[in-house]
Amino acid sequence: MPAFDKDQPSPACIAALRARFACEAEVDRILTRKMSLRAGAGYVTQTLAMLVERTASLIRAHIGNDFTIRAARWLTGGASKLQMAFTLDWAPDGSARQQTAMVLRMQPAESLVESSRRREFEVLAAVQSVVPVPTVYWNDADARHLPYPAIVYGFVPGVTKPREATSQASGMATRLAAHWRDSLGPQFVSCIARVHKHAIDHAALPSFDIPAPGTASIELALNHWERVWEEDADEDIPLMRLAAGWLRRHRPACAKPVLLHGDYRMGNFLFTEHDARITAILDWEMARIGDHHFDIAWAMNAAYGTVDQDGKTLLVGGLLPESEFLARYAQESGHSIDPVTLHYYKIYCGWLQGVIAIGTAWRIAHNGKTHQDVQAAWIVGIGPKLLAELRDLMAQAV
Amino acid sequence: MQLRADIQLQTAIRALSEVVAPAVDASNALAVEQLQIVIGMLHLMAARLPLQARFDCDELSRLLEFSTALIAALDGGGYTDVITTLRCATGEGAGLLALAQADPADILRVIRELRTHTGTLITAAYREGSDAERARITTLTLAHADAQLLRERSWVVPMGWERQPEDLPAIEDLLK
Repeated sequence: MPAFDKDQPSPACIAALRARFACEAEVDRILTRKMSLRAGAGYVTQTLAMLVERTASLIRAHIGNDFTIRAARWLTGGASKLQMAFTLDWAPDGSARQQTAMVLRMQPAESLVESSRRREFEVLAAVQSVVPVPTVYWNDADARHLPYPAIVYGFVPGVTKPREATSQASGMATRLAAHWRDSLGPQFVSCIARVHKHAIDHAALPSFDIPAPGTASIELALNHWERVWEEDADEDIPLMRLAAGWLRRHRPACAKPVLLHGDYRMGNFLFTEHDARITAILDWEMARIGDHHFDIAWAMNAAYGTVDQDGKTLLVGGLLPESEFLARYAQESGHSIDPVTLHYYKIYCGWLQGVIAIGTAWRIAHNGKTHQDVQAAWIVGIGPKLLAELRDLMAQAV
Repeated sequence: MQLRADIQLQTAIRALSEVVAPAVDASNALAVEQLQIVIGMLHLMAARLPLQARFDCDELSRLLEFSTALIAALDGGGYTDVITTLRCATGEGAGLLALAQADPADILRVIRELRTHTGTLITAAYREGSDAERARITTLTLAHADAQLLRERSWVVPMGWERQPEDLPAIEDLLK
């Protein structure tokens, strides 16, 4: 497939990709940065002591020297970013001394999803009063302090699945007992409905393009991910080409673009086990402005769901049947669901998963760009199953 | 198929070397020693796996020369049954060697070229072609994907992604 050396792209190749796929300005910036650094070093292993020192540099730049970082430890769970939990002993804004649990979230040299810490910081701040999310503190989007771009936000107690539940990597196919489904399912719908109802304030989201109603949002999204496919994919896949062509040809108009989470599914929210309450919606790195059908189709993806005990009812996110999920969402959000548009976005989601799970996962593992290359390589293994689902969705559409 | 042995070995070695090894209790000499041996063995596999088929073909060709020379040297010397068996095996080996001369790396290169060129044609025809052409390439591409993905899914069944792995044919039964 490579029409150019993807491991060592020339400035001319990078410029050609930028010209061919017009993206949002901030997306263009981070993808260009990725390609400009690709021929350089792989991920350099960081110790906790190194990260504490660099995190202290970031905090010092904002609040001075009156603080201590304690109890630093690694967090697991994310397939894409590196996370370190710690306690900050400080006196915010001259108030009484306190200990605040925080998380450093840092990208590796290249990531399963190459995304903007600036956008993630902005969107977390923008939805603080809309849904439960971690409090954001500091942003090192240009890696002036940390070795790679990073943000610091508040630690939120909770789990991504009950201790007794089983699942695969990255929250896929999580199996939940009925009492968990009954408690978490309605909250899961309610949170995304509130996000989609939230009025977009451009001043709060300066790193986001706000596309006009019509096909502008899906064109930006297709440009973004087709560019990533061209930048990252190793061997070509005819089905991916067919899907890309179909998606371009059948772009649906979006009457009212909304704020999208971008990766809304089981595994990307925390809840406390003692009261089954959602405490934080996480992983906003793929957030953008677009058609509400996208988040709904993504959440409904078969890879993130499970089949109920009857052996045939697909549970969205392992939480609630599709019909109930859609009905509750429409009622709470005020957004109607068009079946044709929903099917379009299911195909789009399948194609996008192919870009990430096969194209990017292989490339970053091949080039040693992450803190967990072996997990990226493992994720490549789900590619055939995801593509088989994409193939079936395509067959239903034609 | 993207998940090949080379990237599996490369990433496993890195995880063992950079994440697991520093975390192993240094006082557990048995664990430290065996981890180093495992890493060394994986390095050897990564280096030699691409050459394994060539190594076998090379050995087979030299064994054929050797056995042919032995037969010529000892034919008629009273070892009739053994020589007959050896001649039969030599003939079979010569036939197989003729079939196995293509380098696996060349086969993979052509696979990748065909993927690229079919993909480029699909993109162009879907964008610029007629409705009838789009319908034809859709039918052909979906049929090709169906057969190819069945094999790729069966190949990675041990990873545990499939809901009902028992519904998939065994990879041994799918490969020609």
